[in-house]
Amino acid sequence: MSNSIKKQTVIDVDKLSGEFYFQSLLQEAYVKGTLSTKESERVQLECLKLLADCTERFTRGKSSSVRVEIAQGIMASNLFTIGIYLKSLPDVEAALFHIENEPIEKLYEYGLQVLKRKINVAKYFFNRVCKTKLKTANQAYNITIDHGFKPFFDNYEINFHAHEIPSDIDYQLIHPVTDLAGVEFVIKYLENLYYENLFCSYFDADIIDEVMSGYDEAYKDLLDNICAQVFQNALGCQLLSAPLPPLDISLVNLNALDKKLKSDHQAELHKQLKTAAQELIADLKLTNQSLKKYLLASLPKITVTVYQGLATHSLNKVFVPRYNPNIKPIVHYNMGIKMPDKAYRALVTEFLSCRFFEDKLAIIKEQIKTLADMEDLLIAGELESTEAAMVFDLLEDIELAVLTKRYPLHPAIDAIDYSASEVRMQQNLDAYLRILPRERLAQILGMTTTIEVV
Amino acid sequence: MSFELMLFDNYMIEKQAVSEVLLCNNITADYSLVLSEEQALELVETRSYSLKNVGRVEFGGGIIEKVILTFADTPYISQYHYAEFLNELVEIFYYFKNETLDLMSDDDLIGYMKKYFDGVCQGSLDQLKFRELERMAKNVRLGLDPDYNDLYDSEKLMEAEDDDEQ
Repeated sequence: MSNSIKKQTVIDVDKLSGEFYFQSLLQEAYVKGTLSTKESERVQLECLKLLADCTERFTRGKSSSVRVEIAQGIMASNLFTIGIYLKSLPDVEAALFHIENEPIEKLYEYGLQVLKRKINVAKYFFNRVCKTKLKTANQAYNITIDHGFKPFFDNYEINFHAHEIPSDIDYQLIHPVTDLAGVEFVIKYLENLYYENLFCSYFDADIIDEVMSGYDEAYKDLLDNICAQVFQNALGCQLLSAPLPPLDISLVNLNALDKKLKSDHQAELHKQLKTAAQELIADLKLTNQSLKKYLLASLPKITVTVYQGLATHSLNKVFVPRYNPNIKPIVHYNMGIKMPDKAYRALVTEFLSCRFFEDKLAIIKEQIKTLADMEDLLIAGELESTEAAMVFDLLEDIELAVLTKRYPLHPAIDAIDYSASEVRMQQNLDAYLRILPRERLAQILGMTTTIEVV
Repeated sequence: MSFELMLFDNYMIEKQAVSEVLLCNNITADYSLVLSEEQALELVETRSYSLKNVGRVEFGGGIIEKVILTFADTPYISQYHYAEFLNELVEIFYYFKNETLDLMSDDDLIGYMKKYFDGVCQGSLDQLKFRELERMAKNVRLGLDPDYNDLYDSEKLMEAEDDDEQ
């Protein structure tokens, strides 16, 4: 049992803003009567004087006036800098003591010193993040680390824009940073990212890549968090008592997980996940206390995700099976040699001149020997969907799979990538596939993933 | 604590500004130009109105004294229109401070205003505002010399062509 002794204060620390600390502290102190009206007016006047001095430095004495938004920016920067210093003090009482007994200008100068130190802290965490950077194809992750913080370390300006965050951060963390600004935001973001990197470093980068590909094959273009998915899969493995490093959740495992977790209420589920997380931490021998706290803090969010996954029968989106998009197809299909052009032209002319479809079928049966010729004729033959269906009936499953792979129906790109005749053939093929029995269709579509046309 | 709340002591600032404006009378009296206390207060109010109108804030003494002292020796004003003239100048100044994107210092902008007013505008505030300073602000925004005038350039070019023909 850990009981920490907390100092009694009039001011409710929870009501203080992290981003606008100084302003919220003044407001709270004034409301609670800790700061008198006279003191409050003195602080405001001194802030105004500080703004005037800073504005003069901003314009280098060449302009007596500035646009309102610039003055507001400078004022926000000043108040942020003072807030940074006050936050660095042991408690709120000390902060109020300094406000009452020190000129605002002095607090601002102390704040500048703290800011300089904090920039070094940000550099430290950035180095840690770079050293532990995960090898991944995710664009947002790579760009955020490689280029996102460059503007901050190059252009962060503590005199007039201390509250701004000049950086291009796209990658989303498990715990998004809120209620912080300027260098404080960057430090917290980098710290969180470092913990995520640290956790991911316990697993092989290729395995993580396969887990993320299982989540979504196009994960490299998504803004989703990598560590969250890795942690979820690790929890899944832990719940199943499966070996951790492969992070693989098979279909059988998913069913087992579904049975194991289904009967639980949300509170019970959270308890179960917490136990699994603690076991996971022990198994991985995680020693970093901050990392442990970071992971455990994400459990409420994961609990909700798992609960929703169970309710909507989509647990495979929470604990994802690994998928390797680079595995080569195991079947190589040769479409055969095309007939000479002259013979093909004569065949098409004869085919198009046929009055009855039976004659067309007879031509196909007698003269078409390879799938390459069949494909050409299906495109050039101007067949109705019913006629095309009868031709498709002549083909084997693997031949239908080859055609499906070569002419997938994507209406959004058809107009660009395919001719009108090819689109017509695609539509006929799609209509034919739709009326096939479900098992046969699944078999054909399964073949398309393992086949390579040569 | 919002930014607006902090600008509460307007009365004190205005009172100080009026006394500073009245001090300028000691110098402008040599040119028979004097402002009454009421006119000085009106001028300070015009400044506040202009600043608010163009979305600017000013700290310290402001530019009124600089405008008064710079334009004191212009041959195109008399006591009769003096106060009205200064009010217009102050409004013009803040408007073009924004139009030049703060790329020009106070002294430079007042200097150019004086130069054009006494020179090419021959005492016309309308010409100063709607022609010369508009052109100058455009030049500043485009990174050209403030005095650059393509109209004069084309006239010079035409004159040069005429000379060649002769």
